Amino acid sequence: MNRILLTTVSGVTVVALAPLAAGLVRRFKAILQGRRGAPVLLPYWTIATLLRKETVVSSSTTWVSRVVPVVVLACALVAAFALPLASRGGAAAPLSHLAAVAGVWMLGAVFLVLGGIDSASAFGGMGASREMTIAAFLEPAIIVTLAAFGLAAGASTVDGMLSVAGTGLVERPWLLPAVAALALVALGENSRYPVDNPATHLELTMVHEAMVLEYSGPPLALLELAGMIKLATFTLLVANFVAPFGLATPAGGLLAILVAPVAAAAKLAAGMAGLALLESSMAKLRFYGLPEYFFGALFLGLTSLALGLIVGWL
Amino acid sequence: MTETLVQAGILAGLGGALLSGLVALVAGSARARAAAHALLAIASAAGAAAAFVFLAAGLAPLELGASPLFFGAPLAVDRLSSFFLLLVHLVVLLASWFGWRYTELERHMYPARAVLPLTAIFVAGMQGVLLSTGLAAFLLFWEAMSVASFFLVMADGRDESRRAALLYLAIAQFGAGALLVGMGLLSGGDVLATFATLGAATPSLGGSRAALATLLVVFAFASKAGLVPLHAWLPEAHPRAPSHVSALMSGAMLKVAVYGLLRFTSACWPDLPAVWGIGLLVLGLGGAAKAAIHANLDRDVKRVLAWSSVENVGLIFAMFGFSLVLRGRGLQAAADVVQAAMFLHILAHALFKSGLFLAAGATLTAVGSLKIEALGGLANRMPRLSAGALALSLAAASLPPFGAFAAEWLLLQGALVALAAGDPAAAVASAGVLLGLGTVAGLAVFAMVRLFGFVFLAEPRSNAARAASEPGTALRGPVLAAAGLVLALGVASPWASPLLPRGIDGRVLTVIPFPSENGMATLVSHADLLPVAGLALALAAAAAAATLAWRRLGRAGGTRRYHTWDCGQPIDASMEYTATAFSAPVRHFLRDIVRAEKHVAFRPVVESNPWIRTGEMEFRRSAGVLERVYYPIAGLIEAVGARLKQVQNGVIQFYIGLILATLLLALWVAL
Repeated sequence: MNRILLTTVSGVTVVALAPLAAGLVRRFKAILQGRRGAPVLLPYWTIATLLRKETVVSSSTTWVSRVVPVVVLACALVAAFALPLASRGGAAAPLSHLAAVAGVWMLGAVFLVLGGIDSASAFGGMGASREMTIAAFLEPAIIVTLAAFGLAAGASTVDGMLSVAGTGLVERPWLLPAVAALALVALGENSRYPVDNPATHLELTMVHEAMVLEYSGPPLALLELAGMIKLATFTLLVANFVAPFGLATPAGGLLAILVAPVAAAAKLAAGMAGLALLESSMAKLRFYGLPEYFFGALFLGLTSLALGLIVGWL
Repeated sequence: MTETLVQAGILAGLGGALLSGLVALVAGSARARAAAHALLAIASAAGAAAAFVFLAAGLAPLELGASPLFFGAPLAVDRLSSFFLLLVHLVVLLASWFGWRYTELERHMYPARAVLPLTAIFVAGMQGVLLSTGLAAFLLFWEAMSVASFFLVMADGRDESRRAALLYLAIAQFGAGALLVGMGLLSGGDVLATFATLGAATPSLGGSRAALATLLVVFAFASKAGLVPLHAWLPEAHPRAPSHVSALMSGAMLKVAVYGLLRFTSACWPDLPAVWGIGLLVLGLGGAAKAAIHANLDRDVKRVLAWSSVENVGLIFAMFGFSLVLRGRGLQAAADVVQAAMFLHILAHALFKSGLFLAAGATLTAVGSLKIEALGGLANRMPRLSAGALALSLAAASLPPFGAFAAEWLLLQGALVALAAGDPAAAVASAGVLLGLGTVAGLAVFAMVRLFGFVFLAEPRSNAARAASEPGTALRGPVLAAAGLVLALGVASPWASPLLPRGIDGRVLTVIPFPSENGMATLVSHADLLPVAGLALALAAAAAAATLAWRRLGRAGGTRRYHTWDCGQPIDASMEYTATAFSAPVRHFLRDIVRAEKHVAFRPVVESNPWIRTGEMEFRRSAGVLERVYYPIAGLIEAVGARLKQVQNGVIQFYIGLILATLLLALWVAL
């Protein structure tokens, strides 16, 4: 099986399904909250509409703001193509190295933050400060958690780490805290509950929205798409560590390639249902309560790592 | 043939530096200074080319000739010294290119006539340290480097600079004293010892004596490199010097101190026990985290950069310590990967930190201030310089695809390999490295984003920043060159292994004779690093795709300029978030470590109305190492001095009594 084809299928599936995932979580939340909600396909229309709209550029901003959407989307795309989301063992698998994944996510966050600072408004700065805090304080948790999986699988790429996913977790129950840590990281990195309220329009509480307030038209479309891709990426990543079924592999045939997008869509739907349930059933943490959240994620990752080492020595 | 050219190039680097200082000293005109800067730049270009050829061609160690001036032992290069020589020359090249215009523009602040000769001595001293094979010559050049940089720190003649310079001198001399004693212990008092004889003599030392010598030497180099807790002078002294000298101090001099440690380790303690590694690892990571926190709190551009240097030095020492631990536990391959990471990081830090100090200097000439809260909006006013500064800031944050990221990649790779190797001690050390690296990396990114964001983005926060314009090519060029080099180092890192020294396995790195390198695999295999280049390519392709999507799909609407939305009112700089507010979460979340005291005082404007009031807020940092450790020691020395001064009471009978007592004592000892 052509490895380049595997990478392409995985990446294209994620990018194509990302707006659907965003539509699904909104719809599920609406149903859980007793509303009918917007059509599931609305995010596709949102992006198409934004692409046709006029761009309003703030006179306070600099050239960096013009670069931000491109870099943020590029980072989201690289992560979507490199990580084993709908296929394993693709040509880009070496790029899912622990250092690369952490680096690319951080690079995207950094440019989003720079865009927030560049807007010259207090909202942008405040959102930027919060986003930077979340990204910086989650960094040790990301590295330690992925290292725990790396220890279990004897691999340094996320692609290789998936060899302990699914039934592997049953054989190595000490990895369960790491899965939980990964889920906490995913919620934090995507500015979802309990770290941020993605539906808010109250400037004082928001993180992600505050940074992109000054963007409009096509640049906003790029940023929105990047956010959706990131959400789909993290959802599929966590889902694949729990239930890695339906992944296209170099050994699989053409059928596997056709099944992979369907399986990814199913995982996304399940993940979004879970996310909607979570977001409808708990309150957002106050920002200054977040250290416990960060430390909790780090502690879970460290627990897995320590248990894994101890189990290995026994 | 190649050997002769390399020898000529390296000697030209050393001689050209001294000659440029002489030219600037003798001829006082601006034109002579320009010529001297050009000479320094050409000399260091020749030196860098020679060191590069030496490394790339894999030459055997070369002697450059002996002189009684250097106490008989020849000057020589091997892989370790030529790697650091390449780094020093690259930084000198950038700094002298920058200094050519900068010293003229900042003539009102720094005496232009004195700066260049001192810089030349400083530069020659650094090269001499790298080339010396004898201990006496090493110490001589080491002192030349220290003393010249001491004068450069107080070049602007302000009181704070003098204080910082004196602190720096005190610690430098304390370190040099420790080095002298350590050398004496190692060589058995032989001042003409060379690193080769030292290596032969060391094993005969007794256990405690060897440990004391190791401790003294490590102390000397760690204090010069600014390893926490011996760092207190660094954030005071480095920012005081002219910017291109700050670049030399942070970019090159700290690395020369690291070189010293590596040289002594490889010559004397090829099997330094893993305990030392653990010590360096803990001090390095802890210090890096502390420095990364401080880099988020300081409000002066150059002080932030100096704190970032402390952080990077901590990481370098941690990597060295980690590699010692791994080697001590028999994990040679992982240790090699970690050492490769260390060397890559050393080179990357030299490039991005000198570039950032030069960018700070260029900003200073354009705005006249380096207070972060008085800057902002410079990206519109100096687009090219800001592009270079952005690249360098990303590099300093260890983000892809720059040089420091490749180093981080290798370090993570080494830690993961060691983690899975099944050795408890190595696994615990690796887990510590992963945890520490993650913490430091997150905070470092925070600090660099804050630095770039609040200096270059949004609305200018002062009239001076508003009126600023792009610095000339002569100032911009070196900054952009540094950015290009550190980008190239990242993208080309898979092919950088021929430039790195071949591992600190003492037997391989002894100065002269250099054992053959056959049997040593190339330190880093292409497979370990190739994805870094792939990642750079993928990022570029994805960015191209995103741009294409934007241009192709989103062109219908057109573009309009308008002010930032601010609830319907016009916006100005006073409504922007400040850098202090930006890092407030760091201050708040880590308040137990930062221990900043916040004082808020409100005063009613009119006594009768308590609601309309003016307020003042002050952050005071509670006492640090300086106040807790350094000043008490200084106080103790002063107190002892004051006691001893009582001996000089001016009573002649007492003095005669002292002479008599001395004579009696001497007689008693002699008989």
